[in-house]
Amino acid sequence: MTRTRLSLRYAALGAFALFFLFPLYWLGVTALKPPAQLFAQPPTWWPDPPTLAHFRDLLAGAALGRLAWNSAVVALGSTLLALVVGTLGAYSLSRFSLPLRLNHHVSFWILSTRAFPPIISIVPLFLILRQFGLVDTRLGLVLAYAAFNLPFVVWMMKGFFDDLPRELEESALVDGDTPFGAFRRIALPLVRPGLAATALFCLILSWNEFLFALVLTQTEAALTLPVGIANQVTQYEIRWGAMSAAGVVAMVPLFFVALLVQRHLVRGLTYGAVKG
Amino acid sequence: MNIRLENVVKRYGWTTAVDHLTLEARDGEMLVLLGPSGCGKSTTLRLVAGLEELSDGTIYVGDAAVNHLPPQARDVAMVFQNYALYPHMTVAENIAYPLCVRKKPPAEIAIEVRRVAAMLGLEPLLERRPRALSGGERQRVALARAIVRHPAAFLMDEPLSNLDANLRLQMRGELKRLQQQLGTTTLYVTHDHAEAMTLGHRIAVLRDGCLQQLGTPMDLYRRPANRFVAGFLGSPPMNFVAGEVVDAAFHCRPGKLPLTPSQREAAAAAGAVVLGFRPQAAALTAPDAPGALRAVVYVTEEMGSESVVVLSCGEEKHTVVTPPGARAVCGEAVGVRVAPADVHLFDAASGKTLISGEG
Repeated sequence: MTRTRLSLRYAALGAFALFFLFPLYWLGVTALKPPAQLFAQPPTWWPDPPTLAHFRDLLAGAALGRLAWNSAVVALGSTLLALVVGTLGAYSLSRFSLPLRLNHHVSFWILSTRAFPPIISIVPLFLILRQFGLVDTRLGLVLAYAAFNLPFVVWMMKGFFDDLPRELEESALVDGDTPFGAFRRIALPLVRPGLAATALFCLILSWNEFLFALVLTQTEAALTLPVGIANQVTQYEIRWGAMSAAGVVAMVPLFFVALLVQRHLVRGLTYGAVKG
Repeated sequence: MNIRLENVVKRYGWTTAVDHLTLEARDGEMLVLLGPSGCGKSTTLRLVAGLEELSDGTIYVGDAAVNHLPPQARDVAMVFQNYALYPHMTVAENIAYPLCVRKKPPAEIAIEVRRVAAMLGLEPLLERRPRALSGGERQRVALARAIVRHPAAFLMDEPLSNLDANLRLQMRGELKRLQQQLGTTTLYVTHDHAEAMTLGHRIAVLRDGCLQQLGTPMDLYRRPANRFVAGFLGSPPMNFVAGEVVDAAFHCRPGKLPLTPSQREAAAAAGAVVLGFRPQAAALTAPDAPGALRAVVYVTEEMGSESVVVLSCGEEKHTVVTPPGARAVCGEAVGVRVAPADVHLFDAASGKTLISGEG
């Protein structure tokens, strides 16, 4: 490859990186800017001097810790629930054949629930949760998110189970294991990369979810970070600094989770391709 | 322990994969299920293992009917074609698995694993994962996993077909020794007639889910029950010529062959017959020699220890095995002579054997 082509390639990659990283950069510096510099013309590229005032406001004012805790509980709880239920369902769909091509129809029906915009389900969901006294509770959000993530989990995990040779579990059965033992000791450990990838996607979706949380929560008992950030738009002002600071706080945990499972994530996504 | 199948039927929707199969593997016997792909032999094995449900009939392991028992309660061990080793476990863990799920004490498991590993020469590999093993090693681990728990019977589903030719020959020998040493009843599925002939105490030939013949390898080779069995055993396969019996001789388009009195008698009732002769029982002669079939040399394959000459007789191809260095030139007209005593006769319509020859 010639020098020119190489430098062209790096220029293109640089442009892409800039395009995707600039919003993050702007979020970060906005969170650190003194209020006067937020709307300065020309814009200040680096806060001078950087301030932690917005973070202090956030900690003092709205119950940031409470919101982050709510977000964490809801994201982890719904992910766990969706994974347990979805993985079992996916395994059944992958391994047990139902009459009348029901496997195919059930799988497609599960997928079809993702075809309509989520906002359609929000009113019925609100009514159902109200019936059970679950509006404005974390449990209500956990159930809603789990239900919303379930089709995704089923389809992802079904793919991973389909890739697994059936003989492995048949061999386990003949070796003396029970069907559930074969699932737990043979099939489940082998789809761990897929499980990690699926879990991360669920976590991201639940952690960032805004619409359901906006409608289904009202107080700090269940309010999550994305709604908390939106609440910085008040009747009198838009608190850009606080919003940015909250955005940074919301981003950091997922960043580290993604970093942790990155290896699994890449393996999970290319699982079928590299299976040996 | 013996394994007995009585009128076993397996249907998938409208197709019948196994059709009223009755056979028995005696205690300590290696019984080979032989047949082309799709003949129901693997399905039969999976029925015995409990991985498929019977449509009808009964399967006994020992004296107990096992129809309604799940696989884990049948006390049989299976070796799969692709070995089905657990990729996330080491060789030692793979071998120990059947004992672990039976909750044997760890000390006992360790001893048993070591014993079986020693038997199969796997000791240096115990800490490896299946991915890091060669095909032959994987095969041995699969065997070790089957052996370790002293099952009532082994079920082997084409266990050698994923190995390359040399390794397959070597493992074939090892398998035979192992089975003799352990004396465990074995059902062995293959489509390779050489494997069946060398390994089996007895062979059951299947076709379209139906048992064609059950007997010792030499029985099947010498006295095949029908044309299908005759064509399936032996290498190269038996040659068949269609024709009819007229005046003490077999007449067909390439010529006529004399018959013995007993052959004439056997063929008397049948109209059209098919004559079979093994490539080893034929010899090449001059094209116009009396009592020889006329043919043209199609190709000659020199094997070193013998020559295989392929001849074309009209539409059909026939094979003759001759001593090495056959001087047959492509396109040359030759005669094929078969001793009458070596000839097999089959009913053309039903394929049933009318009379078997000696060759």
